[in-house]
Amino acid sequence: MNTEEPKREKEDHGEIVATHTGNIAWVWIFPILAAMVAGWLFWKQWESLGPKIEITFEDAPGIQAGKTQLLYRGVKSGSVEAVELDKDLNHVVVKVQLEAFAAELASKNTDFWIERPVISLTELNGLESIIQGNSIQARTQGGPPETQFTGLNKQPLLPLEKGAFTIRLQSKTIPLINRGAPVYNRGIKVGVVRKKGFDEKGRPTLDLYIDKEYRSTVRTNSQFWPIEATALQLGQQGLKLDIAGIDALIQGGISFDHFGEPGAEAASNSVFEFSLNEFDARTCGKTFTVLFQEGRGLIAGATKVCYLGHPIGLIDSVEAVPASHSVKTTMRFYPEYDAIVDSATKLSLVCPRISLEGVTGLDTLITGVYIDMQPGVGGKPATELLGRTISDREWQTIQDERNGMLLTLYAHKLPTIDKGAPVFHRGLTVGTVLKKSLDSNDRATLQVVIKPEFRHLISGNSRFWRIPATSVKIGPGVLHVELESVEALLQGGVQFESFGTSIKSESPVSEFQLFDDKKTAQAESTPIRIRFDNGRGLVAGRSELRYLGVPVGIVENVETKGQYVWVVARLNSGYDALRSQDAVYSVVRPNISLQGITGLETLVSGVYIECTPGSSKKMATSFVGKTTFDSEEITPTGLSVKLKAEGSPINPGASIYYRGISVGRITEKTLSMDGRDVLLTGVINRKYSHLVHENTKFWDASGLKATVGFLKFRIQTGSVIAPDGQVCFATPDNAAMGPASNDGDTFTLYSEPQADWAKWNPSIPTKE
Amino acid sequence: MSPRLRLQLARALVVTGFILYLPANLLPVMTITITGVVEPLTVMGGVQELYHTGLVPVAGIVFLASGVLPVVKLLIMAWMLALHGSDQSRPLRMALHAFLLKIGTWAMIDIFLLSILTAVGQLGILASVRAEPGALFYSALLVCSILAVDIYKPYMIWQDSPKKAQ
Repeated sequence: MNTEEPKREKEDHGEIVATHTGNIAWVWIFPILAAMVAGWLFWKQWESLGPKIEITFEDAPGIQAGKTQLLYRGVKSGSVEAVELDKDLNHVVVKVQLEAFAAELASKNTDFWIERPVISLTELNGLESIIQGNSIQARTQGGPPETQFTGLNKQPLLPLEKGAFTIRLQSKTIPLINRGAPVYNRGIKVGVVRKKGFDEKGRPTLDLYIDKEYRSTVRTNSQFWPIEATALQLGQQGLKLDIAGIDALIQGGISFDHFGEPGAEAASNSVFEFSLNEFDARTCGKTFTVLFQEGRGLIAGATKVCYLGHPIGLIDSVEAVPASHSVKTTMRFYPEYDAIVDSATKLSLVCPRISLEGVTGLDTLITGVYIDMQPGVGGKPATELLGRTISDREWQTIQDERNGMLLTLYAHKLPTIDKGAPVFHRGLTVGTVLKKSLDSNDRATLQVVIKPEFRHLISGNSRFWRIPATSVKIGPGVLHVELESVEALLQGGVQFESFGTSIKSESPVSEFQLFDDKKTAQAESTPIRIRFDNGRGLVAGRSELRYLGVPVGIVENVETKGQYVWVVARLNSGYDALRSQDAVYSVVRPNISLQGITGLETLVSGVYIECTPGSSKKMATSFVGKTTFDSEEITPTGLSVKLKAEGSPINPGASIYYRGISVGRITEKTLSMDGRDVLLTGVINRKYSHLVHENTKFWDASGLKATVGFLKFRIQTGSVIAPDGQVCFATPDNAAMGPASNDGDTFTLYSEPQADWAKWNPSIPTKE
Repeated sequence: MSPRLRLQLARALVVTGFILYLPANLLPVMTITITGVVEPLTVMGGVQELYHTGLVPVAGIVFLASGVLPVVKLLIMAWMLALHGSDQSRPLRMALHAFLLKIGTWAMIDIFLLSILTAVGQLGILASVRAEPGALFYSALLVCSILAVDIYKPYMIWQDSPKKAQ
């Protein structure tokens, strides 16, 4: 056009010259003026044009040739000249005419993207594109000239990022954190998540952009963790719902900080580990390896280590090692606690335990198990430690097991004792039951360990017995409930004591019998056998042997053999006289009669066997027992008399009276040798035995006697008062009384007294 | 005004008209901004727009009236001025001159409409119409053609060239 212009001018000029009419040449000022103005305009237009570029997009909605503008920093920097599809229809090629001033945009590191309106909860973007239509946006970092570009699919978060400070986070998994999520340092937003993707090794990464003014907050030892959008915390302070913020709720967020001494400022593009949570991030100290016997409840990344109840560490990994049959964990602490963890540190697993010592670790029901750390004294620096998964008591048991004294207790049966049951000595717990099993002889055995400090208490004559959970003893007038311990109530227990003279054996005894109770344990003599006609009321292991009312032994067994009942009993030590050949054993049963109530205590204490020591030096193991009603009556030290009668309603048990006072008792009723008479054996108490003399007269006083008219009428039945009958006797006055009677003298039992007998009134001094 | 001046002036105006025709058609005559979308329109662009919208007859009318007619006028004038002094087809030239004078009355209708549109079409940010430099060139072109027709009087058609007269 410009080239055309001067031609016309020349032509016209020529014509003018040809016509020689120069005087009116001024009219040509108009075309010249017009040409100059138009030419200037066109030149200006041409001059403002920059290079043409081609941008390839995946799609290009709303991009129109001739209308869509290219904007850079909000300034129109070019316009779309053409929109085309490439040959295989996979991409859109947009041809853009750049403005001359924006020619620099045609350089290699320029990104182009299509800005379209984005309306979401977290961002309101490209509002102007709603009105103006989509536009093409650009950002550049310079570089060599280039005219072919590939457009970005998404709008980059930071349109202008020359010299941006970026860091990368790596993790095994990246939680729900989206592009654009905020990055906080101590609550101040310092950057955004720029990109979420994978690195060359396939690990998920997050690229963060940190504002330049805050780049000093990123240190080499900075720890990054995700902000939990919502955290529902159930703790001692109740239920707590934390909402970090609406944007964090949707996009997630990242927080970072450094713990301990700040490190050097991190370089751009540094790589950091991304922790799972804040606590994980805080425990950035040294890694310790801790071995546990078992790993129940240990969760990598969740189980905490507490010191005085305050969480200071976290289990990093849990791994079962089959070789050592243990669980290998790695844990990290807050850096400031690294120094106090050493080889003496006690790390024990705390889990809920309900035992008789108390309920412990109840908080772990809510918080999950944790590991309790107790710094030790005098440990050496170490990174490999041993942890405990058991309670202190169990730990103690294991220690005892290693150092203590192991004993085996055997018994016929072992109810109510379980592993862990205590062993008491005079009320002190001195050991523990380790194991309950059957040995080769089919005996129930208990493995018991005695704490090292108490091992001297065990001697050859130590006797062990089971502690029943509770024992209720009802003595005469006393109700005694014995509760050894609450523990024993549930687990049972073992008690031991040494009776008699201590036997110091050379080789330590390690096998003992376990008795059922203390009484059995105490009865240590060789067993004696007593024969009874009737074993009613005798209970093995419960019925006692008493001497003068004091328990001296226990019935071990009651069995019937033939017509008799054989009682096997043991006596406590020190009662050898009771095993003498002529010792007497008699069963005491309750008796209620009009004469009195005897043996009443046996109603509550049960039938017992009263023992009377013999004088013979010869020991026996087999005895014939008696049945009696009153322990006092048995004493055979009184005077024994025989009463002869033709027939008598008197039965053994009948009382013998002197002047209305009961002084003895009929103990036996037999037939005489020839069968003509009835022989009654009566025993007069020693106290009154001097009253019987040779001429003493005995008569039957039982029954009711009544005289009706002139007939003597006698009711011959056993009376209600004395069912066995009564015997009375009288001794003549001093001159006629004769010598004192001897044991075994025979008297005649008269059916009734003669009149003068009643008048006898001798004065008989006691022999003593 | 001497006939010689008239002739020269008419010639200069026709040439100016031709020169102005280029920017008048290449530069946008107006910009329509509808909801922020700025759309610069040249004369031919407007015709295209109408055509693409489907208004083919209107597009045709506008094309003829605004695009073709001014240049046809200039061409006729140029032809008449070229034949100045000769005796060729003088009655045709007379008729054409009369025709040009007639339609010259309507020549400024585009500009008139544009000015009305510009005045009326101010609807704030929703829509606005603005005249652009192209319109200036366009109207200048029209003025040039009208003046050229007016200055070149019909009697001059009948004038013989000086050579012939001599």
